[in-house]
Amino acid sequence: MDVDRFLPLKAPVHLILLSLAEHDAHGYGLVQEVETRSNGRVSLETGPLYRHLKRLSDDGLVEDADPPPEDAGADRRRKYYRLTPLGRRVLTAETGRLAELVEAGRRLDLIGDGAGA
Amino acid sequence: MAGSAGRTASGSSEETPRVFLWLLRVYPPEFRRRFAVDMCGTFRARLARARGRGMVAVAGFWVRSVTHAILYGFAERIAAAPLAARPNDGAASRDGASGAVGWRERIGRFGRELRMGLRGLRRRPGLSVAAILALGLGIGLTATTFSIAWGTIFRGLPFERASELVHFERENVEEGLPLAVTPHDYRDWRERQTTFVDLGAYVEALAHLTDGSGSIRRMWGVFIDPQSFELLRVRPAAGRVFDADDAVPGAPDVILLAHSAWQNEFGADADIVGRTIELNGAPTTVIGVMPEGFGFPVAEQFWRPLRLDFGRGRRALRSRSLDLSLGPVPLGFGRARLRAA
Repeated sequence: MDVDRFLPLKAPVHLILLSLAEHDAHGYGLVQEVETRSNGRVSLETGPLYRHLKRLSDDGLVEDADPPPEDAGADRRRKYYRLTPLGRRVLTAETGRLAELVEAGRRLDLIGDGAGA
Repeated sequence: MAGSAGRTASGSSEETPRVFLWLLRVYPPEFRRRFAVDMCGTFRARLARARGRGMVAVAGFWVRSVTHAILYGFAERIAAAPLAARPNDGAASRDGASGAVGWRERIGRFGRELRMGLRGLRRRPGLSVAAILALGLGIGLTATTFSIAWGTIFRGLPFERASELVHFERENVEEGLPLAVTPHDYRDWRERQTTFVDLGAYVEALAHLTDGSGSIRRMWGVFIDPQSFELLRVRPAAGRVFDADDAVPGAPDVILLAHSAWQNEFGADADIVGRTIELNGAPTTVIGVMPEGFGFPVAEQFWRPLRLDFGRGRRALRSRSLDLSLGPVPLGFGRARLRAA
């Protein structure tokens, strides 16, 4: 499947996929991960979070997962999510796209303390 | 760090408020079947975190939750409507992750979906009533938020010299995340600070009251430091407030009742002080009734002595974890020395 049709990713979607690339998580775990990864700049509310998750699930980028063994004492009904192979390819493509942009900025000396000087 | 945060914080284990369960009905059944349980878990965890940041944060949280449930719930219903009048644009372009659709088409599609949604509402009057009620609830919550802001920020708290009262909490400033205040932190702050007359702390509590007939009623209140009532400059309408002995772990269970709880739960019993009631299955002595209108911090029905157990593992209690089960997380307040006698 052509992953380019999913690009560019919105920032919250990108952060959700990045979080799931590291490990499976439930909804509130993703809220915390996204806040941490964005240094508090992106705060996912409940409504938008599950709208994103539904879209990602419908598009086959994310799928349901079993709770990890260490969460045996938690609410077993909670849904965990994991990245699909397609989701990982989309994330890789988006990361590559951003890396190209960063490299272009680096060549123009737009990164770092002396940027634009 | 990120790896642990995603797995361990499963949120509060308390029940999901009925209002949120009702709001979930705005979403289409298929969406609820897939996500409702996890949404409830996330909602509970976020609500618990908002409670840790004070009542204004809780009010804001409710306003956002109601607004989002209405907006996104109806958006999902429109998206789940029959697609006959919708161009076959494929799932990815509906996603919003892709920016390939032009703005003219977006506006046109929005208009078509809006009309389709309105027709759907007319066809389903029950849903329309639910929408109107949800909007009314949202407006009501907004008005409540304004009332709280008006009462706390503009009009001031209903306490003597209220401008000297401050609320404090602990936060990771760099990440803007609330952190637990452990009993040891609180003790250290209280012993070492010189800015305030004294500090007080409270922890939200839920209690189940059993009467002679076997019926069980739920009451909301707080565990609170004995010195808090002196800090708030409030005296009981009957009986006494807590003293230091009441806060010693293992002391007999005692309770202070709000005026409203005294009237509603105990029929304004004139002999309530000294009476033993059954609270959470344990005999508990009523030592006083607070004056009418007093409900610190919000509208509590009872107060019980906060007993901080410093014998528990210091290392565990100093954990950064937000997990409430680690121990009490006091929400603190103090009275500044501005004009203290």
